[in-house]
Amino acid sequence: MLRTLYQYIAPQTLAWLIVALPLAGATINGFYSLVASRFHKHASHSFTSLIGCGLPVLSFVISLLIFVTLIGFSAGQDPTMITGPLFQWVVTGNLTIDLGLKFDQLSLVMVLIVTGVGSLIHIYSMGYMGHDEGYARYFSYLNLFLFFMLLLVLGDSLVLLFVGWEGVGLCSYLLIGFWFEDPTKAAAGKKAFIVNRIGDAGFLLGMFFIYATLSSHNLPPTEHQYNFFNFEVIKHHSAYLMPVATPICLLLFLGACGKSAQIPLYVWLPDAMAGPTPVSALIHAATMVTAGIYMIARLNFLYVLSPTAMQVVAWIGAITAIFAATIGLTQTDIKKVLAYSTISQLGYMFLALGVGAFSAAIFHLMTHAFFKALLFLGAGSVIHAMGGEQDIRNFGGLKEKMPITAWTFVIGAAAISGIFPFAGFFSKDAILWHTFHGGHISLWLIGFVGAGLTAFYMFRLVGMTFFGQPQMGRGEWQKVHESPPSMGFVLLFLGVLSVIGGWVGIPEAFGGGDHFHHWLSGVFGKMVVHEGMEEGHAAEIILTVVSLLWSLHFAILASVIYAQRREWPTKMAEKFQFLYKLIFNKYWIDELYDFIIVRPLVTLSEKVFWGVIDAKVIDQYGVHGAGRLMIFWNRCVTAVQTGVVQQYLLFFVIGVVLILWGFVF
Amino acid sequence: MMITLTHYLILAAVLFCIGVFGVVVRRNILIIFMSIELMLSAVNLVFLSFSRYLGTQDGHVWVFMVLTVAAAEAAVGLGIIVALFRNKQTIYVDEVKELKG
Amino acid sequence: MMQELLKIDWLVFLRQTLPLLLPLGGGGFLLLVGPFFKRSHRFNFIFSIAIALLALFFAWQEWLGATNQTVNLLLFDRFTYLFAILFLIALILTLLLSYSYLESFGLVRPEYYALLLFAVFGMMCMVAGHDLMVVFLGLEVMSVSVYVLAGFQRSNVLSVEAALKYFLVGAFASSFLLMGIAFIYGATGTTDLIVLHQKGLGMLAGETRVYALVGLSLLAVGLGFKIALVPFHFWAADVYHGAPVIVTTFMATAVKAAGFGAILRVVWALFQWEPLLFANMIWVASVLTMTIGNIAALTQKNLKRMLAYSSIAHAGYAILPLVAFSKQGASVTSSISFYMLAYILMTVGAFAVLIALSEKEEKCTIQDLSGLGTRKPFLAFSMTLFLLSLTGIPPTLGFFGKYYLFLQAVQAGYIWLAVIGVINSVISVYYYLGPVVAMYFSKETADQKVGPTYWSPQAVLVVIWFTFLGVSLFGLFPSNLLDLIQTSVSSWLVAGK
Repeated sequence: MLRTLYQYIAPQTLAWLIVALPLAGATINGFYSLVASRFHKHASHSFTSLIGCGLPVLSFVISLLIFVTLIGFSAGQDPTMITGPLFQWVVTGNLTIDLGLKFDQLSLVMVLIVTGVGSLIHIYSMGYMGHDEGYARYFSYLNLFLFFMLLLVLGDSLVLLFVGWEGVGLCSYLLIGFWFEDPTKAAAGKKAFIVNRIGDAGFLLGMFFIYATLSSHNLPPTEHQYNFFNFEVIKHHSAYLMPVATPICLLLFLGACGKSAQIPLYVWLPDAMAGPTPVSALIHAATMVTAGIYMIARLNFLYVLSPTAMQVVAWIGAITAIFAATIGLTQTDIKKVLAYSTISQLGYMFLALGVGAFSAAIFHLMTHAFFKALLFLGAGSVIHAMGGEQDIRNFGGLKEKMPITAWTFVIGAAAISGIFPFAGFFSKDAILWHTFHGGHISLWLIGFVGAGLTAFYMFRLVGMTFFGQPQMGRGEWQKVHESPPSMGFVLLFLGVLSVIGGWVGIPEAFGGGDHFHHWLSGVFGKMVVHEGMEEGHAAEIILTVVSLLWSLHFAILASVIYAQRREWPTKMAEKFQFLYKLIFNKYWIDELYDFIIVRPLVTLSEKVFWGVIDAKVIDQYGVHGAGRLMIFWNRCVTAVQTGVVQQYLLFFVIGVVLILWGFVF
Repeated sequence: MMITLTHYLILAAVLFCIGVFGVVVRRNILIIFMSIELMLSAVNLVFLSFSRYLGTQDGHVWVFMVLTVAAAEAAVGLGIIVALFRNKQTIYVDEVKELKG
Repeated sequence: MMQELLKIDWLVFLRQTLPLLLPLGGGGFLLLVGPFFKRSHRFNFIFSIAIALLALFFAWQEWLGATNQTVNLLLFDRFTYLFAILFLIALILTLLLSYSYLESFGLVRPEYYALLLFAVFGMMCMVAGHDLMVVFLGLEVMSVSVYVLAGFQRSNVLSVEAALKYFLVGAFASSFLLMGIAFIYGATGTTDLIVLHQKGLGMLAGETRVYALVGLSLLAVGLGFKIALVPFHFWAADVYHGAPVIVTTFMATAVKAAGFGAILRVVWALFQWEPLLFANMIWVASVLTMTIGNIAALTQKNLKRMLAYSSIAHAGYAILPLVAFSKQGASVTSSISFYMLAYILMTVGAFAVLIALSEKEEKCTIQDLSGLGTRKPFLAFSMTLFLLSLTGIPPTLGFFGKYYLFLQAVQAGYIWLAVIGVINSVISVYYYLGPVVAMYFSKETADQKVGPTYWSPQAVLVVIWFTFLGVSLFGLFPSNLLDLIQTSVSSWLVAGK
């Protein structure tokens, strides 16, 4: 069947269509909304939905086709497809930039995630944004975002990646501020933009560095001569970059920190939750924020040249993971909890990258896209039902009213907590195991503790939202309703993915095929991933079981504490009778936990991490401090501009004297 | 005593500096204006002395150009001063400072 | 001398100078005849547009067939015509912006058009002149015209103050420039740029060397003033702020581009005498200029003033590659020329949006923009694009321009200088974003809601569309443009050797 299709249309053309379709959608809807607003008419929802959702779905279908095509290659071949330059973008004396797409195993995984999860969120938005006036504009931005994201993951050169990188930033900015009446939302958009620019500056400088290094050598002439930003070319000449690998990698990592919200540039992500919830799901959980992970995975050949940079990446990732998880413990805004959890999970991915487990990072990226999108959309469903309320202290008992949302949310929470057999179990376990196995015991310990915290705050969220007594007024309780089918369908679909999504990467220790790692081994090479895995099977199983119990126990603990131990179904109690009795009957254990673990953690989180480090150190001195310094200098500079022209002339004369002095003496 | 090129240049430099000084310290726009003319005259002196010293005619030609330019500037400058006086009734340059910051 | 004059093919000479003569003759014609026509404003407008288009056409023709010929004191190579085209584009855009503005502000007088045309004639002389005196005369023709234009709104105190400040500082700087030329003449016996280029400092010793160095530094002062480098930048903010916004547009684009054209010529001829000293001076000036410009712009509420400081900062970016001039003159020159074109398009665009909003009074504060995203989506969107382009965010033209500038520094080993440039761009995000936030995220104030004014005259919209397409399309496909500019430059710097 594919063969017949390819007789009519070349695979390369199809590949371009993946990128082009969302762009077309954005253009059509953009014009449509402009025209509609000019004539003061309401844009037709069905037309907008058809274009806005249909084209991304189509591009997902094409991605699947290409996936099937590439899988069809025989085992020995490296399934890579390069569409070749569509045209030469820039040609100067010593720099060429072509515009081309690159399909390999890595970018294909990313494309499937982006178009797949992206399409689902588009469909969900039909229900969620149904009452909004800027319906067409919203879809136009969303499609535009998809276009840039696809460009980012498919571009065959750093420049194209950077264009996509900036583009998604721009769309994120537009979408955060989508409801623009609110000044705090405007400020959030602005903050996101500025913090990201700091990261981008690092990224650009890294690119300059690569260029400066490569162009200073007289490289042997190839067909790609002067195409210095092409990944293939960089990879081919990576030996030249050896001496400067550390600065280059660190500069690029600064860019990744900005985009993927790592310490110290994470401050924008919690604020970015001001945007519509599907946007948070798509951009700030599933796709855009993972761009930094993708970039480092894409440039893995560069990072392995610099152990120092890898160390930095791993440590920043681990510290961010536990830091954000601790803050997540005490947040009361449902979306803020999820935001901090995203930061924390991204930290795990960087940890994996830093210890060289590139495929584990991408694996976690994929499962995270599933369950975090699910969690955000579930949260969106709750917010939708509660008429905009986001404080979890005012929720409670919602599972009665919205069962689909509740149970899919529980699945998502189980997945992120790493509970067997949900998706997150396998991916998080892969990260922790690789960390441990690589000999980074302290990093592993941080990750391990963080995993427990994750389970705790997620089930705290679940308990306070869906279980226990309703904490709202009777009138509001009456109005709570399950979300429309388009939203429910997406939740169910993502729920299924969050269960089975991890099964593609069941490690060999558990009798699985570890397909995911094999699939990516063409990009990352085999040595990093599979060295000495066989003899470690027993150790892997033990570690896995330990970390499973650790997370499970925190999950139950949190549910019990925060669901007020009342609504916990007896069925569950019977199943986990031992644990349940231990925690439920022996009340003093709760107290003990509360006293020894929970209280100190809460205090630490509230008083130290959130109150001091997050709000004071990073926000006050980091972000605002830099701002204040700038304002101070601004005062100085503008104070000199007094308006008296003779004073200007005096400075003029001083300048003349200085220049004369410089030249003549 | 021989009057050499250096003497002329020093004279021109002194004239020029007097002009600069006048522009920077005097408040009256008309006097500032005359100081600028003084600076241009100093330039003319430099041109002429160099022209004489090098034995080429170019410098003489340039002096005429400079004179013309000075005249054009004077015309425009006086026009601006008149416009200013109509608006603000002042010819003191330090009173004109609404644009600042 | 007579022999030489007879040898010139006068018909060819006439054709070559047509792009210069047309604005000159057109301006003179307007002054003499313009007022006698009925409905003279419309006639003046159409006449000057026609003149500019005609000149543009001839400039393009001459660009195609340029032969690097020097005739008397003028140099007719592709570089000349490239800049002539830049000036004419800026002129046409300014003319289109002016018509409705002049009408609604009651400034209809034929001198306006004549002065614009004269100014463009002066600019062309600055770039075409291959003699320091011609460059100077061109500069004076341009400056004197612009002094008057800055004070064109005679009844407005701010406008007159701007004119006065511009005039005083300008005349002051001119005398320095002239003194510089005099000393160069004294040291070398010539003012011919090509001869000067071939001479070099090595031949000079003793006193003549001192004269030459004094001349160089005073020349640097005079030219640095024209493009508003620190510490000669103070006038720029006040003058741009006070002048009518159409004139500000012209000053920020064409006048600045002319300054850069002249600087490139002079740098080529003179500053290679002392490449190291020159590079040091350039980087100090560049870093100071961009930093002070950006920092001063941070808190500006008036967009005219903000863009004035931003234009100071951009001058800082634009001279940055000059540090590498002695190593890679051709690519440095083309990067600066490219940036000038990019800068003209995005700045004219940004000002055009402001002009589109100013019906009876200038609406240039950030507050005036609030809620524009809902009131006028296209204006808001294009303003956003121009501001993003000024910030240097891909895939806009501004990004490419800046990238190409910094690349020169990187290639010549000045990586840290590029780093400072990039840090400065990050600072500039803050103030470029202010208007965007106002347009999209704040509600319109009560008095903005009163009348749904559909002012935005057609000609202004044409300008916005043109610049919008230019900034976005050339941002996506800069290749051809880059080729064109590189060819223009190489016919001067590479073939000329």
